Amino acid sequence: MSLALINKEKRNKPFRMGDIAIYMIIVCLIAVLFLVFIFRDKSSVLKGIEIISDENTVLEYYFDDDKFIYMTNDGFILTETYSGYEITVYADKGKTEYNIIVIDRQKRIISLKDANCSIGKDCVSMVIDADDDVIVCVPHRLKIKSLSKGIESPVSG
Amino acid sequence: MKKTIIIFLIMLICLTTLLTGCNVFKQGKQFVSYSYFDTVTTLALYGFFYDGEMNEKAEKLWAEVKIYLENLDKSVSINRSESDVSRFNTAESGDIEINDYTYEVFKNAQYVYNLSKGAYNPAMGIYIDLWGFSPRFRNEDYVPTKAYDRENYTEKLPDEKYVNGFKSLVDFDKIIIKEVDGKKYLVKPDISVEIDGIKYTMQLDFGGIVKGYAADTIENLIKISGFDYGYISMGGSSLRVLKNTKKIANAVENDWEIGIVDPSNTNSKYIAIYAQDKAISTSGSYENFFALNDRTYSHIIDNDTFEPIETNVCSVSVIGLTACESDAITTALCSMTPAEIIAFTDNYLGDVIVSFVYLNGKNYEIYSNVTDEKYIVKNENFTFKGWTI
Repeated sequence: MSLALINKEKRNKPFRMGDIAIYMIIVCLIAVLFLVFIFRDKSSVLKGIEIISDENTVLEYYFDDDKFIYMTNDGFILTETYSGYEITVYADKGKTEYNIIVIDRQKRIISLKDANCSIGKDCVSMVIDADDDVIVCVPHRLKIKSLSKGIESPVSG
Repeated sequence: MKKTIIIFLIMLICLTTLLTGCNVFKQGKQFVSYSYFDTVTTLALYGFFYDGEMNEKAEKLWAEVKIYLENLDKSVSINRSESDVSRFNTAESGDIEINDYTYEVFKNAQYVYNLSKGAYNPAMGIYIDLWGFSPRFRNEDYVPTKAYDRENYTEKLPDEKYVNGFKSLVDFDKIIIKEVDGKKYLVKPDISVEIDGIKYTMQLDFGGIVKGYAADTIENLIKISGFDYGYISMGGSSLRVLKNTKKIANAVENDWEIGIVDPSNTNSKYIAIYAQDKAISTSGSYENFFALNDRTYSHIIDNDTFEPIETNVCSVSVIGLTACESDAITTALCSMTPAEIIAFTDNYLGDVIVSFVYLNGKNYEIYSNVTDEKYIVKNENFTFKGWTI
């Protein structure tokens, strides 16, 4: 190996000072985001949720008004239960891929009861009980996110 | 080093795209507020604003609305000394040249005056001022300037000689509107009264309809611009809804859930009514009033007694007329008894929706001709009585 090549390789070594600074910035950014997530204000009351399938909002639910707002009439089945509602959201037109979302009105909690997205069904272990919470099911491109505001209602008077 | 920076920048771009990309193609909303007519006008528009053409349309519309509101305010505001209405009010009598804005507002006022059988009367301006409900009384630097003014208008009632003396100055029918050689004029009647050596003449005040009139015109501007979704709120008292982009469960597609302010607690709503492409106006003695000697003095002046109305009808809302008509009709209905409101609605307003709150002893009662599927009672302490007394 020539001397010039050795010097070039030296210049390309991964841990030069500038590189380390950038890596540190990325690590700090990740740490800050993690801490914000862990210590965020959980006392804010969950006003409602938005269910998004394949980047399109399917429906919204508002606890205070106990009201649904539909963006579409297709792609889901809504049933009333003792504690609230169950919503089966389909990820495909053939209605074979699904997630079952549970709304508990009394406890103000959203959870997933079942899904056939993968063997692990990671989404089923998640709940939404506060503002800023999100549940994502990547295989079914399903996102459930909390809403911090109540139903949009123009006011007269 | 360069490679690392490039990788870092690529990661940053990917992260930004991930965070923002999801919303790029969603329908968005734009809110704009203006301050005219002693209130805040809010316009909410919904559209695909990622489309450059639609964004341009929206920006052009906001500018048009601002110019329109400015011109209307300049024409009919009694707070502006150069306005047509102020010139009418300061003139003794005779022809006062007016612009197209004032002409249109006057014609609408004339129409609503007739529709409400005179219950809405824009010539009551002198009494609105006498009782302390003109905009000038809400100015922080208010000082008494007229002979009948009180230092603190909420602690002392006006002198009886003025209440009785001004009665001949409210005959709206006496004002003539005319066009000569393309110019428009109001002819002020030669009627005046003299009290303590000071001459008083007829005073116009379009405060009761101008917000509704503006809402109607703005709705037209919005539709001409190609927008169908949103609403216009003129300080809340006058509201004009277009269509809702969302579908509320158990409501008709595109209906809005319109909340009506609870007169017992203005921070909440007593009822919600579902509607789209409609104007809704609410008036009541719970807003703009003062209390003195165990009595509440509302901003709505009784046409018979020339005093603020004394009523247990706390709030009246009208849905289905133009916003201009609704503004005036709600004010007129506030001075009626529950039985009179129901009779007037059934006889003259056709299928217009009317809702009002009546304080019966200590109980609040809701009277409304709205159909079952079109409303939800929000205050469970209020009793829904339907449409019969």
